[in-house]
Amino acid sequence: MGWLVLGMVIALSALNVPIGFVLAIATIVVVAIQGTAPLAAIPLMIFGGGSKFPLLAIPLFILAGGLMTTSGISNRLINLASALVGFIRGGLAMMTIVASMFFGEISGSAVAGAAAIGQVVIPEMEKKGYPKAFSAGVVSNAATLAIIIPPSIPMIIYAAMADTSVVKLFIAGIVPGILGGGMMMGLSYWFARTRGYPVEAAFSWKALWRALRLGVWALLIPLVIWGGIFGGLATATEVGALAALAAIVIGVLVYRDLSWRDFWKTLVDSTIQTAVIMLIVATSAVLGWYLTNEGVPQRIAEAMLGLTSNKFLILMLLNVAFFVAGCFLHSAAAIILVVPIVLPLVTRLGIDPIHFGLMVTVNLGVGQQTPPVATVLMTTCAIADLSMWEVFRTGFWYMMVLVVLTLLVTYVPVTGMGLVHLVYGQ
Amino acid sequence: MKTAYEWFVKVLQVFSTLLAVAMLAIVLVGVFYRYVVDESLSWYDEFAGYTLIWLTMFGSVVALAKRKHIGFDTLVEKLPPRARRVADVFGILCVMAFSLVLLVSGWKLVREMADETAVSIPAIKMAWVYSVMPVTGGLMLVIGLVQLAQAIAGAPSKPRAHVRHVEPPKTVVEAE
Repeated sequence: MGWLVLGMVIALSALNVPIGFVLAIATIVVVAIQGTAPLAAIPLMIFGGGSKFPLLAIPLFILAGGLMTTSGISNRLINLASALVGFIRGGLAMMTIVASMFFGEISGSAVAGAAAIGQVVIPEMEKKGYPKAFSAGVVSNAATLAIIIPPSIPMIIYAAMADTSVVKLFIAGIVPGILGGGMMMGLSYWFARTRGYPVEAAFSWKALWRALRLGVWALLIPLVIWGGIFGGLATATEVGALAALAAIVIGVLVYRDLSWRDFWKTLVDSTIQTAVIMLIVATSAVLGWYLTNEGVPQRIAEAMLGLTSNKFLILMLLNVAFFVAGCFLHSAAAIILVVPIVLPLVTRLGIDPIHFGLMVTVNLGVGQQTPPVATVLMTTCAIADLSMWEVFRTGFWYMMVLVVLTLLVTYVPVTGMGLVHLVYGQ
Repeated sequence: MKTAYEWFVKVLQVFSTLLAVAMLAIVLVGVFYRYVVDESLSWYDEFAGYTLIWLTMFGSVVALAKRKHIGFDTLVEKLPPRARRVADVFGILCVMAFSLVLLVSGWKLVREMADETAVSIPAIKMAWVYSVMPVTGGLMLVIGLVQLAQAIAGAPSKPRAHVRHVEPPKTVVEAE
């Protein structure tokens, strides 16, 4: 029966039935055939899966990200990034990466980052003589840093699935996120040298001061969020509430670029976005309940451990599994489907669930860039009006940075876990 | 001019958004009480969770009407038009089957919960809280019927966001 469920999930998904519905339908069919549980359990499971307290952070961060884009907060962050690194060769590419990192400190969504930054940066880079496909490649891959640098929506979903501390996972993402940004900037410098990309205006304290003055409020939001994370706010929901409140106060009341009409529109868009992700989360509870009842995760753990108990090898296999899942699934769906199934195996091997969560997050970051299902790449392509393959090719080496980062956090756990141990002790 | 169906979707959209505003308000009040007033509100986590599932279900109805749910359309888009229409109809039937289970089983659930009350506020009956399941099931069924009629009549279903022709999103509608 386990195979029947899996087969139905794959077949229905391939036919373009929305994934949130697929998860529930596959379980309903099997439960109806077996007759082991009443169908009335189905809505109860969905209700339970979608009303968990830690998940409240998702709509809050989606709203914060939406408001940053529409209220001009992100434009001010881009200006600031430009004043900081624009003077280096390949300055606009550098600026894109730094702006994406700023953005990632506030929003937990890479798609929101790609849209907010791509709209401004891609036309700008084209004017300055960068090939459009190259700019789009940088924007797309740098945007993924948003889910590695806290806060992060995939991390929230992982923590809810694995029942572990999301704040610790956030902290684990800080060093790898900065490292990834650094590597991408190094790569941009090398490309700029070898291909002769231009330098922006020379560095000036005056320009930096001006950008700082205009952007000081925008910069306050990440400070508030990181202060919350390190300052002992217990849950991601509380951090999310703070982020949403800061975005509303600064974006709507301080900057005043946003009309009430656009504010309402942002609210509507964020609500639908939330519902789309949360439906998958909620219906996955039904499937998870069924699989656990059947003991599928335990059986998989035993089968794998029967083959090998080499941690190195199993981590590699898990990385491959997540990479394949990431190519075909939305990252939220990949976490929801795969994490509960492999978690018993991971804990049996003695791997820290926080370490594993970081690995999964970065790995699925690669999945956001790999067709056919590549949410961030697709958003960027829509903005740049280019085909997915074109941008995939030019952004390939930036994506390789994410691949290297995945291997690094997997096999050199201290990359992410070092800071966690420093803050919380061993 | 808006058709009745468009108004129907619009009203649901406003209602979902108001649920989101209510959720935000509940969370902010809860955090304010916990950290500023230094007092925990007993109802805050429970009811914040309930507004989340309500907004998820009602928002999903709107997303269904606007075809915003996440699916894997790479294969289906490669099909010849006729096969594609068959796939579309099949997809709608699947969604309707799920909606029907939600409506019927959800109704049973509400009946079973007739005597239960919310943990933190006993005045609130769980039957009311769970009513979101059959109600949204019924609403999805209605939207499924409309879409089924459109698909069979061969009316061009709303063009899917195509990579090449989509307008740059002002605010993004798909997240991660």
